[in-house]
Amino acid sequence: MKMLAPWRTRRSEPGHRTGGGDTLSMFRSRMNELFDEMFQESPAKELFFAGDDWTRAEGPSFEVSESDEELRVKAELPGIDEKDVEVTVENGMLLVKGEKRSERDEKRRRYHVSEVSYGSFERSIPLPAGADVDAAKASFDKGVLTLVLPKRQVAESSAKRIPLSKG
Amino acid sequence: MSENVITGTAKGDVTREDDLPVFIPYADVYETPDSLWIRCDLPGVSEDDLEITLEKKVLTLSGRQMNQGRVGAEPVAAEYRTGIYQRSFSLNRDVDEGSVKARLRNGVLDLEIPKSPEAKPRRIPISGA
Repeated sequence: MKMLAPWRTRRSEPGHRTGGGDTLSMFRSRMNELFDEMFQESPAKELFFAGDDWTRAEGPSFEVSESDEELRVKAELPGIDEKDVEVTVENGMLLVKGEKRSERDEKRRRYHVSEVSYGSFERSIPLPAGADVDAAKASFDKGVLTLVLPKRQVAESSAKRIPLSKG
Repeated sequence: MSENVITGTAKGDVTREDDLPVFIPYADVYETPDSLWIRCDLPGVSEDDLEITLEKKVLTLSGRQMNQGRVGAEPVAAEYRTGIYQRSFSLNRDVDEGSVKARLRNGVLDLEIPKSPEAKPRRIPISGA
């Protein structure tokens, strides 16, 4: 299945990330390997992992988990104000937009380490069928955004059996 | 004067502690005339789960990110895992160890480490001839 709208992010102000980033990239690629192993046979992988696209994702880290009752999306957004985060749902896509404002006052500060990224980001995630957008709840705590979308009970007979006639 | 005032001690690969993965958090480190500042991204860490120590000019922070509300849920995609954030910074300025201030807000830790009077820039008055 080819993703129409894969994970994507956009940064308006790249390049603040120096030093230490390598460790995280290493960690990310190792995590990707682990998840590749874990989801090798899972249809969920095709739904959420858009080929290599997601491995290139920069910006905030997301986590999507699913139970029978709900879909849970969490995003690490440290240092981002609640008012600078926007969550919308359109055409079955969940869109999380935000901006981490920099308060860098270059004149007074002498930087020795600068790894934290600032700027805006945008991320879209395809929602599975049955996710109840109207009952979605969002909360923001300690720099972590949590979205909970309950699942509507989808009729189990959505897959129609076609009878075979002998002939 | 050395550029490398503060060195973050990266632990290299992800290690484990109490069966939890240990991560190195991202940090900004800067200096103003009066203080050293460390700003560190610690999403999901609460004040109670954060420990900051300063010993022999090595500042170490260790924060535990607790996992909540995942009971019975299957991870579908995850770019981060919960665990322990840990990082050490060696300070090679003389600092006033007793008056370090820490503030945790929106998952970001701000540390203000005042320099000792000897380490502050001093203005030398010039007297007329």
